[in-house]
Amino acid sequence: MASSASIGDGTVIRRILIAITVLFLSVFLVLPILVVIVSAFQQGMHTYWAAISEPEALDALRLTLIAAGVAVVSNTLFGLSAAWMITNYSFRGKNLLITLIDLPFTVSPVISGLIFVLLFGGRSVVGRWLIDHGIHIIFATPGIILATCFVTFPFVARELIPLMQSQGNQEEEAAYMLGANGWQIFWRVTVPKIKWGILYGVVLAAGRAVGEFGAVSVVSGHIRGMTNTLPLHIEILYNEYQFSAAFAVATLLLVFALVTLVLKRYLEYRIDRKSEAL
Amino acid sequence: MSIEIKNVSKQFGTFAALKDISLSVPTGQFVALLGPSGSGKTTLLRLIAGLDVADCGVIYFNGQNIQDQSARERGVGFVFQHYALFRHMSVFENVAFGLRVKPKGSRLDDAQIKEKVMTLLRLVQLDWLADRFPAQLSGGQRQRVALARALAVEPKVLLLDEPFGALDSNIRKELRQWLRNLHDSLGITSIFVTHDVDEAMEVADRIVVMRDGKIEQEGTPEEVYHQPANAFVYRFIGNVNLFHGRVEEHEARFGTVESTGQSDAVRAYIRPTSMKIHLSPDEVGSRPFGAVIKRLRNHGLNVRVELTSEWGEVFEVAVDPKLMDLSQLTPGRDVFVSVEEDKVYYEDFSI
Repeated sequence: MASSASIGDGTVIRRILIAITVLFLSVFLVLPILVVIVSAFQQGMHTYWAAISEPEALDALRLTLIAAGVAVVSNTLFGLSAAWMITNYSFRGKNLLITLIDLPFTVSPVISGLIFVLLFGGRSVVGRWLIDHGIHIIFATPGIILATCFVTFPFVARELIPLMQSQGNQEEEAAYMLGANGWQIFWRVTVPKIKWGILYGVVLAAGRAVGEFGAVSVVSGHIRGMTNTLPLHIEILYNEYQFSAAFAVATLLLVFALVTLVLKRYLEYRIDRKSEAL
Repeated sequence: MSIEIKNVSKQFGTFAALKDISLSVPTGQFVALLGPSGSGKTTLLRLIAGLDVADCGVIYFNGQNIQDQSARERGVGFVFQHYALFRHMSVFENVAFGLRVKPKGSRLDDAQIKEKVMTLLRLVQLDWLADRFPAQLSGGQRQRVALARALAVEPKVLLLDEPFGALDSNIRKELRQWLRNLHDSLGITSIFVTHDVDEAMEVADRIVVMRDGKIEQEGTPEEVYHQPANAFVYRFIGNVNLFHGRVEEHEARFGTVESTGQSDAVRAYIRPTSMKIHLSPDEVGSRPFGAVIKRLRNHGLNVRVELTSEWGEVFEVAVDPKLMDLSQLTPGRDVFVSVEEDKVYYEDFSI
């Protein structure tokens, strides 16, 4: 054999590797997706359509979209300000802040939900006061939004901090020297520079927000048509042995996931092209 | 616009970037801030621009304290080291930026902006690239776009941070002369930062040599080159040979002279151009000494001869091939070296 042969050139090894990869992909990816789709349509198109068009499913979809929408907007604002602060100013506790931003990734989602129950539930001082004033957070929409925001809030910030750090602030300084004010600098220089990064973070956050189960489950209270998101609705259907309906609704989440994936790939491609152009 | 800097200091954490700097630049001058990296030259430039704030001291433009003025009010154009062009904007939009962000009352209309931008692009000979993006330009072209962009807001002062630092050496030389001509035709005051001595020598009216946050010397290129204020300036400006010697009877002696124990050490700096090689001792001027040729190096117009002095110090002499027959300077040959005494710089030595 030629001495220039690289690692993994042997046919046997190559075949084994391919086999392992294919096996893994089929068992953990292709097969489950197929099961979801097949089960969803098992009882025919009619049942499928009924499952995803019944009012409770639509309410769940609406709530999911609201929670995801609010989470995405607030994450974008938070991510932008955190990244702006971290890249443009030096202050005490900067590294601590960067570490803290990752906290929702390391805390179990169930615990995240519990935090909010403890904080805003009827047994806490804050929760009591709010309930006395007619503001319900736990077992209501605000709680679901809060929990969704919490579990998704690192996405945009984590995407932007390294991006903005690598780009530096020379262009902003140049704009400042040319007489632009802070607002003009932000919209005309900073945002165009990082827009693909923002979108990437938004797509990831939206994907996570739509599929979030654990944290939302704890704060939701599972009130049908009121505090059910799509994943929770699926759980209820499943527990009631309505398998076809459960899988039918699950296909909606599958569509979200695929759209997220495609957008993610496209944005990665745009970001790569951007950095190559420099 | 004249610039007056008085007792300015700037500290970054525990690092003193500028220590009590005072400097005045008359209207219309082209000044180089010259120094090794970390000497504080860029910090000084950023203070003048208003990108950083001095810890203490005052900066005046035309006699007026500008400490509280923003960059826009100061009327300063700034060209960044890596140009900092807006990468998502075309060349045209880059240059137009300063005009577009003006408040409504003083903003030109689109037609006027277009005309002005195209005039500026013609000035920097880039009107044919107006639709390109920065990533599609060469280094020299980006540099000129950055200049046009800075000039669009009609600054009274132009500040340039290492303007030629990122360019190839041949483009660099071309741009230097071009920038000098541009400065003269605009009649503005310009300050540029550089660590390249040749660049400062060629372009500037006046050179400010900086080190460790302090000004070591300021003067015309001739003054800085021929009358260096101290050993640092002498060594920094141009090539230099270092000789170690001793002071005896109010005279510096080098090499084989025995130390009496009473004498002080002295160092002498002599430029390669202030020394001459002679083949025999009779044609020699003042205080010749013997040396052996080690090797010759060709630097284009002049030739550098590396020699070892009779007491063992290695040094260089610049030889003009038109005045001397190079074939006689063979390695290993014994020769005599004379020195233009008035061009020698002695350190730690007073008579």
